[in-house]
Amino acid sequence: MHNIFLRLLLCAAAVMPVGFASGAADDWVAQIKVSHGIVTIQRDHKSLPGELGKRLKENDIIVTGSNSSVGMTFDDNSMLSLGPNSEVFLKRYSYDPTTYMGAFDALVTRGTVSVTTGNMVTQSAEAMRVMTPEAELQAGKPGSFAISVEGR
Amino acid sequence: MKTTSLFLSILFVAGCAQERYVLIPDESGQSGSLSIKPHGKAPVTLDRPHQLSTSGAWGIGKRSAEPGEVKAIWGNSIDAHPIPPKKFTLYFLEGTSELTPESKKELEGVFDEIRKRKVPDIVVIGHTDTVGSQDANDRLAETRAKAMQAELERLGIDPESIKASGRGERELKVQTADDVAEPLNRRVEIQVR
Repeated sequence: MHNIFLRLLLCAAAVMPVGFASGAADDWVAQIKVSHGIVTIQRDHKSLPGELGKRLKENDIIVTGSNSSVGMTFDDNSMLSLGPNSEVFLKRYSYDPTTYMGAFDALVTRGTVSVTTGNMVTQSAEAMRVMTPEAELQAGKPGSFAISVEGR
Repeated sequence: MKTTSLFLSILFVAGCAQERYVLIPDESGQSGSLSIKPHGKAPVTLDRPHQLSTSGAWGIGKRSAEPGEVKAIWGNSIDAHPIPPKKFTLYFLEGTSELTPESKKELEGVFDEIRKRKVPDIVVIGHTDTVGSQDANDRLAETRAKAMQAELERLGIDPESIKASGRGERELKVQTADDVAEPLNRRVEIQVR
């Protein structure tokens, strides 16, 4: 009898954290809207296909192969797209849809990337930072810009 | 001789690892601005469409991109940019979750926008005017958002791609005192992206 209770308890304990993790749909910060060629998402040391409709999280690394490209839209309507042989690390993303306050740090480690700012930059220009191996970029006013990091 | 070759090899390495930054104008030809802070060098701000900056061993300057240069370097990434999100505002008859006749017609525009996209996601936010209590308006706003959601689903949109919520009377489009009937505040915002 005790044994059964103990087992139930253990089961509950084992299931709970998983339930919380998968139930937290709010973890998703972006969605892939365009995907061509070979696109992969590196998440928790795993490589996942970066296909159309795939949702992205903070800490994901997006990588494109040669002749490949990918475009994504974030919760605050920021957009990011990568050309071939590119890599971007979504270091930090938080956004409050009520106040439009948030923080977005992206690391471009190689390749070509274009960026369109979203609601959080419209709300406060400092909200978004894009880091490259040689510089830190910040949109002063909402709009689009593009970056290339070669020879890495 | 040794110094010369060392100098040349530094130049070579610096020439290999290079970064470029450029401002892309929107459809109307306007651009935002971009502040670039290179590590250990003086910052630069780009504030005109197609203004471009290149990193280098001597710091960075700025110039206008050559015609075709932006397309040659960034064409692939720009082509992969998603369709920009589009926002619609639809209005309701007083105290109900029924759209005004004009807004019913506008729903067609929402569908056109959804159809343009391969993986649309839709955010529906319901609002009310200030007639009635805050609690009642929270419920009404949510009912309006859910009614829109049901309508979109009925018309064949995947339920998984719709998020609906209500904001009650917290976000008035037209500022009014409490208990004021204001048609422009009785609305639902639909964002298609």
